[in-house]
Amino acid sequence: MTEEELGRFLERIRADSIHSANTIIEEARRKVAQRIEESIKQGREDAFKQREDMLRDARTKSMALRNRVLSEARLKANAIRLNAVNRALESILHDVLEEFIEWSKNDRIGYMELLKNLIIEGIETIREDVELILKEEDLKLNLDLTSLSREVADKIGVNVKVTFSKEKLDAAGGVVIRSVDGRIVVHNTFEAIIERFKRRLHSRILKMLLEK
Amino acid sequence: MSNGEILSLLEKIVKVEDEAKEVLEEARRKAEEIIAEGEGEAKKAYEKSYRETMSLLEREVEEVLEKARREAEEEAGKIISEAEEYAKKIDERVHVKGREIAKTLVKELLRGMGVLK
Repeated sequence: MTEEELGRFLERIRADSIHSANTIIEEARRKVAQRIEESIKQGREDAFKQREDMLRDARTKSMALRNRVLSEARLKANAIRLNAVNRALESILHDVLEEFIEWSKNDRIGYMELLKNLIIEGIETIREDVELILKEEDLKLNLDLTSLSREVADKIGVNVKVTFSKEKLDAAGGVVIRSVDGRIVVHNTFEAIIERFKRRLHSRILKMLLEK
Repeated sequence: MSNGEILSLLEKIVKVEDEAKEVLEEARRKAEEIIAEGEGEAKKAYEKSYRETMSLLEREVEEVLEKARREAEEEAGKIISEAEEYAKKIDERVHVKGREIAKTLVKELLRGMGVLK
């Protein structure tokens, strides 16, 4: 082997070793790149496994949220309707009282008739001597108490003494009938009549208000 | 070729082979280092990828909730608006028919109490 051939031979060994070393390093880098790529994929897959659970949970929360929001809205809507209805009832009942007053001023004969009926009704309940509490202006109507007593006696078979109280009625109209000893009181004022019929009036008012 | 020349030749070859082994040994060490560092990078890459995907999923969940909230609020708005319409209608009717209704009711009450025919 010549010196030159030996040099080439040795150079070949060196070159081969460098090539192999580079290959080893390249292979290591390739493995690392592949490992990283797999890890990224694995990370994505592991997170994605929770997607269905998360979405199911979100749907449950959505449903609860929807129920809460709608239930609050329904409560609020009911309160709005109820307020409107109460406002309407109060307003019309106020008008009813005013119409009562108006009627009592315009139809004095009718009003006297009403007072008489209300008094008799009260005496029928009390069934003993009574006094009548009237508005000052109604005392001027000159109600005939003797004939009233007679009428009551005919109707219920009991003689009762009927007198006017010195007390004056503080109401829009009507009468308060009170047993002389004050134990029994029948309120037949306009306000009391409206209050007594309130429930029935409510349904009538709503029916009339909502019908076309 | 004399014995001395052959010995010298062999020595040169052995030396170069030793150098080559060392180069390969060094490459293997370096490869092991690269792989060890790569494990750490792979772990970080896994965590980053997991976090990013979770973040996307959380956004998707938020969108589902937000959509549900929007729809429910829209529906709630309709419910309340209907009630307000009803209330407005009642108020208008009271304004238009209130007095007339009151008159009718007073007549009915008076009839009931035997005053009006």
